[in-house]
Order: sequence, then structure tokens, then C-alpha cells
Amino acid sequence: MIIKNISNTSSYSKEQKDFLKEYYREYYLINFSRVFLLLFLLGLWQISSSLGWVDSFFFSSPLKIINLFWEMTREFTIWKHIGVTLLETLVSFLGVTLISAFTAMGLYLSPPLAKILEPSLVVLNSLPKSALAPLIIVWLGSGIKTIIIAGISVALFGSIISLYTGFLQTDPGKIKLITTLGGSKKDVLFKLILPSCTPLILSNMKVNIGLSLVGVIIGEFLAARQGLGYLIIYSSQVFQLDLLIMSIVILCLIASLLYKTIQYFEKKYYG
Amino acid sequence: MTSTTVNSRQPILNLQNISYSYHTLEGEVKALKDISFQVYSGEFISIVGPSGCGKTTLLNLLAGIYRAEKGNIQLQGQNLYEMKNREEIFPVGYMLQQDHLFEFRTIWENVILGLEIHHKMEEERISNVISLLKRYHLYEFKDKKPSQLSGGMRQRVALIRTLALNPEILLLDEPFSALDYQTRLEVSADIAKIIKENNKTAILVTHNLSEAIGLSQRIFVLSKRPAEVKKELKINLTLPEDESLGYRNAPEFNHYFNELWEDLKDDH
Repeated sequence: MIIKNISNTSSYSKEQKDFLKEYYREYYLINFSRVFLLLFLLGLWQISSSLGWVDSFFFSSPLKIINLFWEMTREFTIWKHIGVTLLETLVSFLGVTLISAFTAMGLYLSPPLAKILEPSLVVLNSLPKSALAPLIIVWLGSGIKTIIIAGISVALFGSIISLYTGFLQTDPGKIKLITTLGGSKKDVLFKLILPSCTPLILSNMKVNIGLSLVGVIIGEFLAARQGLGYLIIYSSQVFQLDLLIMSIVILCLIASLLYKTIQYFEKKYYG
Repeated sequence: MTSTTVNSRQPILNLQNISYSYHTLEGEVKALKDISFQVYSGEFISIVGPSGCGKTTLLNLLAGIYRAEKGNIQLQGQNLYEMKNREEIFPVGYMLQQDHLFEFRTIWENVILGLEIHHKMEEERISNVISLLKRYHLYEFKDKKPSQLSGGMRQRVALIRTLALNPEILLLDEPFSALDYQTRLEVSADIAKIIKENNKTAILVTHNLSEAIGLSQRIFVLSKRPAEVKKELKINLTLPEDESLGYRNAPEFNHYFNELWEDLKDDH
């Protein structure tokens, strides 16, 4: 949120000043409460672990996680795992975005094709994608390629359905306008639907970036020797719960970072 | 009923026995039956009729959005659907009930939409659009978004968007119906003026009998569905010159209004 400079408020009426005061009081209270809640939970976790209220072997502690992160940073191993997961997620996301956009456009331009593919898309979207992952591994073997395809498979079908449905909801009056100006269905798509659906496309991308990360982690669970998903499975098998929890915390941070990045572009588009 | 207008000039638009039906799984709905009439260059024609009788269907046929199942539509002597130079002369412009300006485009980007679609961003056409915007006091708003303009201004922008392609005939499908009453009176008078100044032929579909009488030289009354031409009414008003909406005070106005009202009343 942008905080405007409110120092020069001498020309404002009393009511406007009161409104601004109330607005910023609530704004700061919410932000303070968010930070306080986080620090409180971290502090409680650390104290519980240090005083033996919980078993630190199973529950770890913030300090143990920070130490482990520092150690793995010095050895550079954690950055390798983060880098691999990020790369796989971004490639999957790019794949989902491009494939779903082109497929939805194809479905729009060819209603018979849309009718033919609709039942298949609904079934594939409803299918739990983790059920497909073992099959993909058998077909393609283990490795980055398999994980990227697992990442794409999680988000792709829902994304196609969402975009295609959005395209169909365009105002019929505006479509008629393009027709009256002599435009073809291609003109309707490129001059009207794609520009007017930009908010839908961006919100769809926000969902897809999270789903791509989920798919990549599922893939890494099953078919990887590196990446945060691999670290989570490996550490659970050897009972290194500090490593497991640290990997989950890093995943949370990556998910937020990716979401915020798309949100940044969304805000930039809206001005 | 077939129109029997006697006119020595060649009609710009000639409809001969046009019929059209909608087809659904539930059955066939006949919308238009044996519609015939002629329109001459520079004329302002209105089409009135009961709700749902097929007035918009008729405009859709003239715009080439639908194709007539029976009959023939000729524009300047050529079959409308087979005109070879359609890409060059854009025979028919269509103005819809709502302005349908795109909010993600500026006013300028909206008015050149048709030129963009046809890849006709030529200097002459662009300067024609600029002069239209200037003449109707919209040029200074060219970088604004449609939501920043009033309803009347938006409707003028929509008309300029249609005129940008320099069509021979303008089809107006109740273009003033979305406006409030006062704006509607002002904009309809304005738009009729713009059409006249640009030497265009216009066909207006409307429910508003006063509007039809005030703007047109001839009015065609359609019957209920399937629509046929029930009557052709020639309008000849002696207008007081000092009033912009003076047609309402013309002595013949009430006579025309009552005649139309009687014709339409039977079909309700």
C-alpha cells in the first residue's frame, strides 16, 4: 500500500483530517498486529523448545533453523536446492501460461473443437495430479524434465478452463460491434477479448504460480535428487526435522515472493 | 405489403422480397416475410413496429451480419453480399443501441478501431477522423477514457467511430435509447445534423414515434412477427426555423403521430 505524504494537510477540513487519521490508525494497527503475531509465534516456538515444553528433535526451533540455514549457505548447498526448485517452478509456470493461453484462444476460435475437448478437460482437471506423477516418471524417467511436466500438469487444465470460460463471458454487444465494423472472429479475440480479459489473465497467473510450485514439489518428492521437495522427503526419511521444517519455511517464502511478483505486475498494469 | 414508391432516381438500397427465419431445435421462428422497399441517397428513413417484430433482424441483414434466406438486397445496383470492392468502400455502417466504447482504449483508439481492423490507417482517413472529432468538439477529449465522457458525448464518439470507415449508409439501431430524455433529444438532433452534414443515407430503427417523425423523410411501419411492411408514410413537416426541436410544434406532427399510433395499436 502506498502511504501518501500527509504532512501538508493544512488546507484539509477537520472532517477530512479525522478521516485520514482514522484510516492510517487502522493501517498501522493491522501492520503492527501482523508483525507482532509472527514474532509472538516465533518467540513462543523458541521458548517452548528451549524450556523443553516441546521436544526440539521433532519440533526444531527458530534458532536451530537459522543455524542450519547459515551452515548450508556457507556450503552453498541450500542455494543449489532453492535455485533448482525456482527454475523448475518458473519454467512450469511459463509453460502453463503459454499453453493455456494458446489453447483457450484455439477453443474460442473453434467452437466445435471446444465442444469436443470440453469433457476431456473437465475430467483431466478433476483428476488428482499426484496420481499422474508416477506415470509421468515411468514414461520420462526422473529428472528436471519430468518435474517440469508434473508442475505443468497440476495447473494446466484448470487454467485452460478458467481462461476459456472468461473469454466466453465477453459482452455480446461488444462482439457485435466488432462484427459491424467488419471484423472477423480473430479481430474479436485480439481487439476485444484479450485486452478486456487482461485482469482475468493476471489473476489466473497468480493461481498458476502457486499451483506450479505445488506440482514441482510433488515431482521432486518422487523423482529428484535436488530441490526443496527432495530435501523434504530426504530429511523425513533420515529424521532430520530441522532440515524438513527449514525447507517448508523456505517454500513459504518462495510462494509469497512469486505471488508478490505477479501482484506487482498486476498493480503496474492497473496503474 | 410491398412499397410502391415512385422515384425516377436509382435507389442506393433496394430490398426485394426479403425473408428470414431463426432456426432452433424447438422449431423455426419466421422473423421477416417478403420485405421490399427502396432507399434513396441522402434519405433519412425510420422503421417502426411492435417490440420483437424483427426490426433489428432487418438491420442485421442490411449490415451483412445475417444473410437473407430469400430475396435480394442491392446496394447501388450490386448484390450486397457479393460486392467485390467491399474492403474499399465499407458500404454499411452500424450504430448499436449502446455505444460499446472499450474502456481499455482511449477515445482516439476507439474511433480508429474500424480503420485498425481493416488496416486502413491511411493519412486521408486519419485526417478525416481528426476533422470529425474537431468539428463536434471531441478532439480535446481524444486521450480520455470513455468513462470520463458524458452519455451524449459517448454516443457522438460512437457515431464518429462508424463514420471513420466512410460508409454509404448508416444503420441506427435505437442509438438514443440508453440516454436520459433530455440528452436523448439533444443527441438525436445532433446526430441527425452530423449525418446530414456528411451527406449520409440513414435507416433508423426506433420505438419513439416522435423521433421517427422528427428525423425522417419516410417511415416504414412493420407488422408483428413475421414482419411485413404494413405501411409507408411520407413525412413533410413545415418546421419553424428558429427552434432546434421545432418539429414537435409543426402543425402536421400530431396527424402523423396519430396515424402511426393507429397502425401500431392494432398489433399490440
